[in-house]
Amino acid sequence: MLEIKNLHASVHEKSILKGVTLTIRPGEIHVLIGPNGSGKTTLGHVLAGAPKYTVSQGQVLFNHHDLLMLNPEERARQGLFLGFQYPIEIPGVSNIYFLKTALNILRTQQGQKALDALDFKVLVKEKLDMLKMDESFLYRSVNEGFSGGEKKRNEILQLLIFNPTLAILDETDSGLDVDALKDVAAGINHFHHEGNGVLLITHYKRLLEYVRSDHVHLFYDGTIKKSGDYQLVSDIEKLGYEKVLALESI
Amino acid sequence: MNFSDIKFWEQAFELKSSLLEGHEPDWLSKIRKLAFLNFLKQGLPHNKLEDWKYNDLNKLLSRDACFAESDGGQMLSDIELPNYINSHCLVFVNGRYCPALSLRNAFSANINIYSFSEAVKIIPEVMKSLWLKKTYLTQQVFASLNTAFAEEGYVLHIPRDVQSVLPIYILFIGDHAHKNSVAHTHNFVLLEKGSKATLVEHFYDNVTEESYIHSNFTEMHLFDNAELMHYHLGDASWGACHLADWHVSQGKNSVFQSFSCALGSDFSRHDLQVQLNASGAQCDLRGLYHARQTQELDYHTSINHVKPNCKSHEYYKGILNDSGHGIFNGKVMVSPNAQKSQTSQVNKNLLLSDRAEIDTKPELKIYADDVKCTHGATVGQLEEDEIFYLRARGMGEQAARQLLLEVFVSDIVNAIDIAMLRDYVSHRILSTLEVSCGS
Repeated sequence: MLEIKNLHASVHEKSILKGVTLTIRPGEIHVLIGPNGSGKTTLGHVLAGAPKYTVSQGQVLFNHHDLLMLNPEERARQGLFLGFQYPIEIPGVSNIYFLKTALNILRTQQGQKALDALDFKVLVKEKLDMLKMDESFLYRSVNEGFSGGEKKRNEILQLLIFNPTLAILDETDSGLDVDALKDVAAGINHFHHEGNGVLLITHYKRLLEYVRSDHVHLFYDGTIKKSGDYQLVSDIEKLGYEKVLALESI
Repeated sequence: MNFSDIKFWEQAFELKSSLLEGHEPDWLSKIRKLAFLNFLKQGLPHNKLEDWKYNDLNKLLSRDACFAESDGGQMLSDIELPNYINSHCLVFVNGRYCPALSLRNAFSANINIYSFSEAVKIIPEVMKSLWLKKTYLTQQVFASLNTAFAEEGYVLHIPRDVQSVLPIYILFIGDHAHKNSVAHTHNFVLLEKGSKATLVEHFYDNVTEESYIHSNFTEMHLFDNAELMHYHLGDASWGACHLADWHVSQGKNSVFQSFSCALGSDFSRHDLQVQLNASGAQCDLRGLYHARQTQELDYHTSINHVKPNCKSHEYYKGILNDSGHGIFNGKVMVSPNAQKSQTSQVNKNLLLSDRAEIDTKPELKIYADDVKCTHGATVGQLEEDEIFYLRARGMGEQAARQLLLEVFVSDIVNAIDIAMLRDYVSHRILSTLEVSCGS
């Protein structure tokens, strides 16, 4: 469903992505692991269409569309979802208004009927319960004054409500306590099925104790240096990025 | 003749004086003369004056001006009143009182509302005492000019302890006004002790591009414990020039609240002066301006803490687009014996275009030592991160921008406590924002 070929991107003329190639098929969960500043977040943002990045080279196919030709809203409407590492606060816009408006845009786009307030409430209530979130979340401004954990839960809530075909989750696990981590993992597992794909961007092994990983990629200096399975995560955890990379070059 | 030509004003005043001679009391002619002399003494504004340094005065002074001898050929039946009006309204067309369109029957018996000329006949002593306050002396030069020329306006007198529940609407409509015509309206609001009222001044027209000037001056006097909620909506067309002067003097424990919204006119200058003349008085001033194309919208507020224990609060927001120019100047004076004064001022602006401009300036003159005073001004743009977040959830770029603009104005608009008026104002603002987003 996602095919990235030799993707190069920069911000303010600083080159960040230096030839990323990655294919995600339906039903797969891919993990991108790598040190700070290696360009993982940039990859997520470039795929979602953040205007501040310039793509200089490469191609991305998403469900047979030339992804790079689409603007951010079109990508979302085609079923691509980016869970933000730092979810943006939007003071003055209530969460329920935001969620309902966005969902109905997506539904209309996909030829489904827009949900009325009542149906939406039923849908959202079930997801809130799953994530152990209080209903009062709905009536607060989007992410405003949310704790780090609440913001991340709110991203997963959106994932469950919008139900995209590809979820890119950028460090959704960082800054969470054990209970929150389990809830987030449960949310991801609930979302995932044979027809959709997940790209988890993370620093830590922790989340992977609760979420299955099919493919693990070591991301370093703007590109994927090494791919493997869960064993790669264990190696990195034990030896560190530098040593794992050195192993390969031997 | 040109607006900046002093000879034009001298001739016009001479003509006006001869026409009015014998038709109005001597004290009124005398005040007019004094006000006109004050205008001549001060002269027209120029950019070297602190209070006018940000203005593009060409927009005002290079206009042609004339006094229309008769009203425009208006077909009164064609004039539509805004949908929020159900009763209690006084209508002025091209600056002249229009009884045919006014809905006065609904006013309760203990609310006294007159047109200017009626008031001079019916309550001459009250009018005389109000005129003799010579309020124009404390205002900008156009208040003097207004005092010299204005023959029309409304007079609202609420007797002691009368609490008017329903809002009182005053409509100033431009209707096919003569090209370059100048209209002056001068109003008085008198709230006796313990009385309460809500007042709406709405300026609009059904002229599209015709150039005209409307100067309006409202003097408001709040006696002890009186409460006035004052709304203003400036929504004239691009050709219009709107000069608004408001003077408020407040008695003990009185409360003055103001909401002003400037959307229309190519040039619009608002001077709001509040005198907190007795202990415990408080004022709460709010405003919203949205300048587009080549509009210049200016708010000059001035609050004078004369006595101790008074509170003032200001909250103004602006959106500047295209080559629009906004000006906010918030002057606050706290005199030496006005201890325990509390004053706060906030001005927030959004610039939506590279060519748009905002000049924002707090001007605090604090001569007492035991005061609580805060002020802050911000100038920013729509947050690109916020727009991207919304777009990444499927919202179109225009819709995302529109939503963020709506959010920006929402707190100030939602505070309008007349539901029909709130819907009307909100609709008007949203329609101007849509134009902004689409550009």
